Amino acid sequence: MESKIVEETTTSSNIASKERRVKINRRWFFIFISPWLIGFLGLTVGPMIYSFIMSFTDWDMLTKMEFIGLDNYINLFKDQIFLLSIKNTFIYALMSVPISLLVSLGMAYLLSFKLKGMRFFRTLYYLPAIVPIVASSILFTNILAANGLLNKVLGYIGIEGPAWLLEKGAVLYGFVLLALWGVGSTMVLLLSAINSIGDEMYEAAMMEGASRLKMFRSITIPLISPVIFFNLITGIIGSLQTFTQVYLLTDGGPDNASSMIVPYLYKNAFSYYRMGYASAMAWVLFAIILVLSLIVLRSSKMWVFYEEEVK
Amino acid sequence: MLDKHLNLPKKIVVYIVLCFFGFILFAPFLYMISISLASPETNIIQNFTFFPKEFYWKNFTELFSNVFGGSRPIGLWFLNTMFVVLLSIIGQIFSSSLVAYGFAQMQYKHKNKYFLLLLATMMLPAQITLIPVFVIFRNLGLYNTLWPLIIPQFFASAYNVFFTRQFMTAIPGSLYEAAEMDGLNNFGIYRKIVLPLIMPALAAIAIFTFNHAWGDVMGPLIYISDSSKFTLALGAANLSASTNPTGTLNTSLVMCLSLLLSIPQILLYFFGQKYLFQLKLGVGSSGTK
Repeated sequence: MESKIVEETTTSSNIASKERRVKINRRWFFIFISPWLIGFLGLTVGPMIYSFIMSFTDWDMLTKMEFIGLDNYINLFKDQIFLLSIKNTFIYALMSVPISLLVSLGMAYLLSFKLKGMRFFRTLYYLPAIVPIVASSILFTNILAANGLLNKVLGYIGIEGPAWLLEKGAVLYGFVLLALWGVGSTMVLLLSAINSIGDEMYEAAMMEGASRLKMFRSITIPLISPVIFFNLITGIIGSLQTFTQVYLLTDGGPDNASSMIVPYLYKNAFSYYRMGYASAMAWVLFAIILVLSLIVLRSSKMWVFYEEEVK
Repeated sequence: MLDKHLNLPKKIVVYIVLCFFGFILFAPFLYMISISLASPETNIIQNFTFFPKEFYWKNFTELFSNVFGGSRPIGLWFLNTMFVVLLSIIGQIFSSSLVAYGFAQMQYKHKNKYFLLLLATMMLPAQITLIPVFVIFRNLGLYNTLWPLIIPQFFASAYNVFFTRQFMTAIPGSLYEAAEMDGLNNFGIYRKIVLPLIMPALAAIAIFTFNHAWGDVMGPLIYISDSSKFTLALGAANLSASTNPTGTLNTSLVMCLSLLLSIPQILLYFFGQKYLFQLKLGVGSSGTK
């Protein structure tokens, strides 16, 4: 529990000097936050306004900007590739986020046992998460190739794997596998949350004869639910913005089966120079992220457990 | 957690499961090493083996032939990357800690509103500002330079400010009062009292900034067009098979480069572990304590 700051009571005689202090304090506050404030206005708010205006125009950066009203937005919802990109992004997010969370939760649970050599395993499990996404993407072009590592291993156990990156039905699963390999960063957060739970709770539960599974479900999970929630939100936002993997592994192929929102936005802006159209796309993405975040936030009241509420 | 209650058979089960998944997670690394050490004769995908069969070190020497010229000036890419990385780290440490200090210690009625605004920017997808910011830098004549990758780093990032501020609020107030008595002004307190005490947070900022600047593909992809100005990440991306189907470089060499690209981050993890672990604990326990 954080301690409450005790406010000093001021006598009526030094009200004037107090007002001066408030002014000085305010000035210092703005001096210190100025790097962020300037960046916020110049690199966030300003560009957002610009982007919003741009989304109602037709502009290729060379000729004059032309105001076309809602046309970009109307065209977006007639654009089959864009609709497919939204669908693919959703499917990818729906698969990769929950699976990653479950897998990292399982890993974190395993790694939370205090056994010899745990430091080694912890490092081993975290290692893939530090590999830069360029390197892991290049690596996975080989692993997921028709006769790459994955299919060789599957071959040993008698399964004939698809050409992961070349078949429409398989390509998104390939991306999920890549996401699973880098699950370590989520795992570390969950692990430190699990480790910060005191033993007393478990000891009390054990006295009452609770099983390990029961304890995991009714002690561990509720106590780390804020961290699960944090990872769920960042996972959703992150997966909706997937870019590098798609750019490097498939470039949206085969036949747009792995086209996602941000790579398609990038293509429109920087290959076709359809700046207005791409800006409209960015706003649709923003709206999607906002709505999904709010839904998760709303649902969190039902399943995220904050200890303060009980006390 | 409750180690004492694991009996021997259960311990063995846990170890077996740990080893099994550990091996699955490590297998791609082995494959990466194996491919990077394959000789040009075996260089077709179906020939790559899981464990390295050959040790063709020449791949690495070939990768480093002609590092400052030719079609893949890796030396230049490295220098470009280090330039971006170092200036980004300086920018983030300087700006994020200043802003964090403002939010942690300065008094202002509407401080919390500004802080919420800062946190809200974390939710904002970068793509919203991507195109206008690109247009701004292009109009400033900075297209095809490294500056668009560096300049934004001098305006603090919400995430860095957030955890640095948490570090600063943990500093006891009596320390500030003592410093004020000694006649230090706010900048003095920030430099002489606060900065030395939040070294772990600064180290974490440096590590996060390094990781981002070192591995970022989209930024350089948008701003850089000359291959002499590429960063390593963009260079590697450009050499990889799918973006470069004609295949000027064989798979082994691309894999060598990917391997080398991973090494600094792995080293940084080992050296920076203790700083990151402090932070992670901070995030992890914030909700459960």
